[in-house]
Amino acid sequence: MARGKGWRPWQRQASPWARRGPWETGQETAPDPIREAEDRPEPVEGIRIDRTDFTGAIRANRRKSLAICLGLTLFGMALGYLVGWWVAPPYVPEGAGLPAMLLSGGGAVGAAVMAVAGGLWSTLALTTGDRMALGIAGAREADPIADRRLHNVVEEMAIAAGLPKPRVMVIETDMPNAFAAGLRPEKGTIAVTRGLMNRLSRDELQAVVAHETGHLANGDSRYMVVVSVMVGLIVIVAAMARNMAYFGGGSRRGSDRNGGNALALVALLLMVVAILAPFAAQAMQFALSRQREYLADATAVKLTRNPKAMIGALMRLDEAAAATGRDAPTSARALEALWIVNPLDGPGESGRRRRRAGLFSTHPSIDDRIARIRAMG
Amino acid sequence: MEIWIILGIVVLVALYAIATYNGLVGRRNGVRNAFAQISVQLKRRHDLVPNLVAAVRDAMAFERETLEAVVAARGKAVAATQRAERGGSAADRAQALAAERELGAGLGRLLAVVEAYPEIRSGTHVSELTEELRSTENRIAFARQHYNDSIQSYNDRVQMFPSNLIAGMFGFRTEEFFQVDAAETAVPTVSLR
Repeated sequence: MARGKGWRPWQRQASPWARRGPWETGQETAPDPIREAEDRPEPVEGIRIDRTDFTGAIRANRRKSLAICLGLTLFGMALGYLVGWWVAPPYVPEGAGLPAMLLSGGGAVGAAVMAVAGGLWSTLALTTGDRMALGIAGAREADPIADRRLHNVVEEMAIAAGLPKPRVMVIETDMPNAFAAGLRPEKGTIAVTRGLMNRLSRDELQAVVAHETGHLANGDSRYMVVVSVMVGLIVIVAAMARNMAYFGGGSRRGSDRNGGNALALVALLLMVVAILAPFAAQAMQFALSRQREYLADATAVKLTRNPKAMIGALMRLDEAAAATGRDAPTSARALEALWIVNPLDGPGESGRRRRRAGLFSTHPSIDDRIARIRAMG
Repeated sequence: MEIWIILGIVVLVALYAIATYNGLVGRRNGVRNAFAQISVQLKRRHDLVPNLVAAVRDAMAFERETLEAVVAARGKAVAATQRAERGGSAADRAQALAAERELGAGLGRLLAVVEAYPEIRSGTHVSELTEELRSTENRIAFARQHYNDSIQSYNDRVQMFPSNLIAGMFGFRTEEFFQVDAAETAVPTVSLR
């Protein structure tokens, strides 16, 4: 859907959303000698974003996420089809072509089983998942008096997003990080660590909370649950298929007279797919996870209209993650994909930070995220 | 055979029309709700001002006029809002908006003053109140922003093809964005005598 030409709401007079008033002078991010070398634009007093392309960023991201979800589901169903074919090979009359060999009732059943099992398991995970995640992280309800500022910031962001106020929780750890859980945008929870509240300015805290509100508003946890369930299914079925192929499962009806070639072909195909599927599925899952992070960043900019604070917050979180890195607690490890920055992204064996995100990273690299936020403003 | 195909197409078009109409209604209600949300936050600000003034009055003998301006602006804003709500004309509404603007500017100045004097700022009661006030100012700003965001998504629907056909048929009109004039976005000055 292309927007009509010449429709530019941000060019109607000065700016329909000018809103940076005198009360929002959050202190600037402390200068960091290491980063001074990089091209950090000089902080401008009272910066105003009049042209933001977060809507475009959000649209493109939705498309990509949907494509990945669909691709993964089809992939799982294809695997199911192959296994079904293998378990109950079709009867192929003499001289039939390849299409006849590929059509299989067993295959159709296999594909359907994958789809239905995925649906059922997802439903189960969706109803219990967020409570479990909060429990693992050790999150507790935030006190409305002592943590007044956090409550205020969360409510402000809920107003900006037009959502009811989510539950506010605090995790008592010094590692600065945050995550959101919730099945529906209306019933979400935002959890931040004590370390995050202590280290960030009000505006930066607001940017982080906006990022999490973005996850809620975009229904990310739903996406991620469905996808991780599908990945789990694919991993399990692929393991089964490897065993079956190894121990020669499946009934060999008429393999000597007809369909022998097809059977050999499918067996080979099944072996290859069964070995590669888990890796491919996980790579897709992480690709989606990275997409959702970019989307939440874009949404945060949309909610706060303050990309500077988001960049500042990401930089501080990045530094802290570099400091804790591999000694992150087990709970952080288990929930790797949920956090706003990856808690495990510390210096590796070589002692150098990873500057690029690989195929198996749950988060894009901070540098990439900052570059994209800059491109939006 | 053909009759079924034609019937199928008709049903599909009808379903699309219903879904689009409902989407438009939902978005228009969203716009109205967002507007109501702004006045909720403005009320919150009215309720907060007396507490804040009481908290800083003694410490701010030297900034009398700033304080008095805030109190006066609040009185005007409350009165104007009540007039506007009791069946106000467009002029009443404009007056209420202007009064709120004045109050916002006054509070901005007051906040800046409080920030500038550490001995005032350090009182726990005062710092709590300034946090509340800052939050209120933010809420008002974000409520307005959300109002504009929902107007944008509603206007998109009204103007984009093909939903604009349905919108035209049932008389959905585009809404105007909420505008802020320069006076409100100006940064207040603090005199440090």
